[in-house]
Amino acid sequence: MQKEDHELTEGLKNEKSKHAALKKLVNLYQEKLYWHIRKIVMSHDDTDDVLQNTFIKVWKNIDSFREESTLYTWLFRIATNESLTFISSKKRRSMLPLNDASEHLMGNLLADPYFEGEEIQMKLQKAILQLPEKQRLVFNMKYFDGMKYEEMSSILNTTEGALKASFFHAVRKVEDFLKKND
Amino acid sequence: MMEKNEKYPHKLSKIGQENPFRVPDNYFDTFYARLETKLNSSDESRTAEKEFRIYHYLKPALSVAASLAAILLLLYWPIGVLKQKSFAGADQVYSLDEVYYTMVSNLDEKSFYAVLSESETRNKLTEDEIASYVNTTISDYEIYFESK
Repeated sequence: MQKEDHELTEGLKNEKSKHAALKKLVNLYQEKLYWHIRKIVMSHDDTDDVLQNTFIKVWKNIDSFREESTLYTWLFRIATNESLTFISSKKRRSMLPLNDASEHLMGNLLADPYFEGEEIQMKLQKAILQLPEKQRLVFNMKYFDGMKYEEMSSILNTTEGALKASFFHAVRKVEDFLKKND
Repeated sequence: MMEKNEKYPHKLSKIGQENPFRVPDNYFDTFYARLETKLNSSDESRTAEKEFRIYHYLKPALSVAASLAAILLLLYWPIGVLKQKSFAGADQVYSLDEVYYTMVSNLDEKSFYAVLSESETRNKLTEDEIASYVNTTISDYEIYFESK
């Protein structure tokens, strides 16, 4: 994996091979990144924008990648930051109070033409949207993506202990919401 | 059928970890092509932005140069006109008296008296010169009336 990462990184840094390397990178990681972003921004169109911005950022900043983490971790980190930045900019543009991002995201969820889950799954999504931003991130990455705390720690730049505590609280809040809205 | 998660609390354990969302058809198949289009247009706009930045830095220098040129032009024209007036004498044709006066004023004392004595003798007209003058300029009719 490390060797593949290194070859891909070198390919992206080389003028002659960077387009081919980018195509390979996109094919490898586009789906995983898409679903990670989608759970944050709750809209397909917004996800498409953020996903493109993520790869463009990688394209422009590949020279600053020091290979201290895996390429995937670096990509995931960029995707997470781009998603959160996107939500913040939407908040600013729509002049919403800072804590009203969840209402905006709820609107996205309810209007989403690509939601095909059952009623109970819609309730779960609503429960997750009640969580504070960081807890929501941690919950999605652990519950849906099955990510290890070590990897999450690298992406979110938070200690494993803090992540475990965050996930514990998130699960309790989701459970309370589901009970109240049964 | 949803997978149950028995490690989670009661309500959450009944819900699966299945993804309830879907994507439009062929979304991932066409994603790279759209990304490449966006990258190419981003490169073009970066070139245009670079050119704009060069112009943006040159603009103040160009403005100063243009202002200086305008000032010089505004000063040059009236100066040119004034110069013409003050040197108009160089092109003017002076009268003989003015030339004579200028020449005389530049003479030293000795030369001055020499010219003066010369002009005195010259100014004296002979009778022949007077008669000649009268015959050419005065008519017989006027002479007749004068003699009356």
